[in-house]
This record gives sequence, structure tokens and C-alpha cells, in this order.
Amino acid sequence: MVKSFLITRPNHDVNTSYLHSFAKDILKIVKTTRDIHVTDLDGDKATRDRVEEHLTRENPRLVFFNGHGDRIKICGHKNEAILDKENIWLTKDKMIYALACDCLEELGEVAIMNGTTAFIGYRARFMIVIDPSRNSSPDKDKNVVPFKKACFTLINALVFGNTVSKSIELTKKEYEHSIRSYGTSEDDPYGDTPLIRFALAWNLEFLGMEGDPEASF
Amino acid sequence: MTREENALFNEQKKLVLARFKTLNPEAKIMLGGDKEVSVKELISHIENGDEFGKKVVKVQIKMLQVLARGAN
Repeated sequence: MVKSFLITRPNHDVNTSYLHSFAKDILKIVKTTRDIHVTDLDGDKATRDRVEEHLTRENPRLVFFNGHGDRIKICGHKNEAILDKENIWLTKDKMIYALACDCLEELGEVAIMNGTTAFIGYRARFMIVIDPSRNSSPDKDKNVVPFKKACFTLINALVFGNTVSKSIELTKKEYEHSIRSYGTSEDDPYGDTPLIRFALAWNLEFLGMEGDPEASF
Repeated sequence: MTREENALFNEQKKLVLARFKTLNPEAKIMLGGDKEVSVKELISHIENGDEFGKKVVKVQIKMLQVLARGAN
């Protein structure tokens, strides 16, 4: 049976351009996987109307939101609210991974009350440390590699059938590994290591979930 | 917070401040929502003892604990 997977990745400012870049690797893998059908709402396609249409029509079991967010919403293109308390019911029986700031704190809880199977996200701002000289080409920014690896670990684990709790455990291990191993002169030409380690530890601390920890895709 | 917990937190705060003060004060972390926080601002949050500053102290101590556990 083909499983349906929806991803949103707006790309209209520096922050979203980094998250947009982080999601490329999982898309490459999923597009070669026969039993997964992926819908990529990329750039200006990441609108509320399209998200609602795909949630309804394709009924994806797994939804990966990338973009800005706060305690009560996740945003799409040009910061339009694409998921909030008004349409959260559309995620009933679905697994959500929100790579967006703060939204686990309140929206995650509301989602579970409305029947979402599991909601993975951050209970605080999602932090990254970029190399400002590379901010127009996130794919080439070495500073963000450990952040990208952690985000990839989580979505990759979910896509390939790990439970929510196992996927989070693997991601936390990845964060810990990066905290310990990052910082040779080769990968840190500008001396950003202490700040990168702090930001990784921040994301490690505030990554969490609501709902069923044993759910899988 | 008990007196002992308060004393411990103050020690941790001093340690974290000392570490952040060795960094470039203009270096920045991106926070999402196109916001940034500089090292100088992190130090200010810690010194002011606001909620964000308290979280910064807590996370930095956890980071040191992860480092202290050694490489896998």
C-alpha cells in the first residue's frame, strides 16, 4: 500500500531558506521510494488553501511542516498561517512533525485534543547559527550542518517506520553526538563552535512530542 | 527554589556568564521569525535573570554535562 506524505517548505526569507534546504535530502530519498507518495508544497505553494486541500484529499499519514511558527500557529509562504486552531482538526489521525518555533507548546496540545495521532516539535524557538557570508546559499553553509543532520535524522526515522519515541531518541542522540564532536578547525573557521554547541543543546532540550509515542508511519 | 538550589543556580549563572563573555559579543544565533539574538544580548538576559536568561543558563549547563559525558 502506498503511504502518503505531505511536506510544506516556504522559502521567502533567510530563515525559511535554511529550513527549505534542510528538507532537500529527505525529499530526494522519498522520491525514489515506491511505497511513499510525497506532495511537496514548496515556496509559494505553501499556502493555507493548498495545505487544507491536500490534508483533505490525500489524507497523508505523515505531515512535515517547515517554516515560522509560534505557540498557536505554523506559517507558510510569506508567513500566512497554514495550520492553527481553526483547521487543526484536519490533522486528525495524522502524525505531525513541525520544524517551527514554539508550536509544540500550545498548538501541539490542541492538536492531540482534536485527534491528531502525534505531534512532534519544539517547545521554544528553534535555534541555528549561520555563517552570514553564506546566507544566500544555505546548502554551502558549514555552520548549519549539525542542525541539518538532526532535522534529517528525525524525519528520516519517521519516514522509514520508526515510532515517534524512537525517532526522537535517535535525534537526541544525534544532537548529543554533534555537541561532542563539532568544533575542529576544519569545520569551524570562524570560532563559532561554542555558540553552535549552545544552540544544539537548546534544540535538544526543547524537542518533544504530544500524543502517541508508539505511533509510526 | 530552596536556598541551596538558589546558591547552586547562582554558581551556574557565574560559570555560564564567564563562558559567554569569552565569545565575540556580536556573534548571533538565529531564532526563527527572522529574529536574532547576539551573545551580548544573551549575557544581558542572564544578568537580568529573566525567564529567557534562566533557560539559557539551564541549557548551557546541560550542554556542559553532555560534553563531560565524553564521545560515544
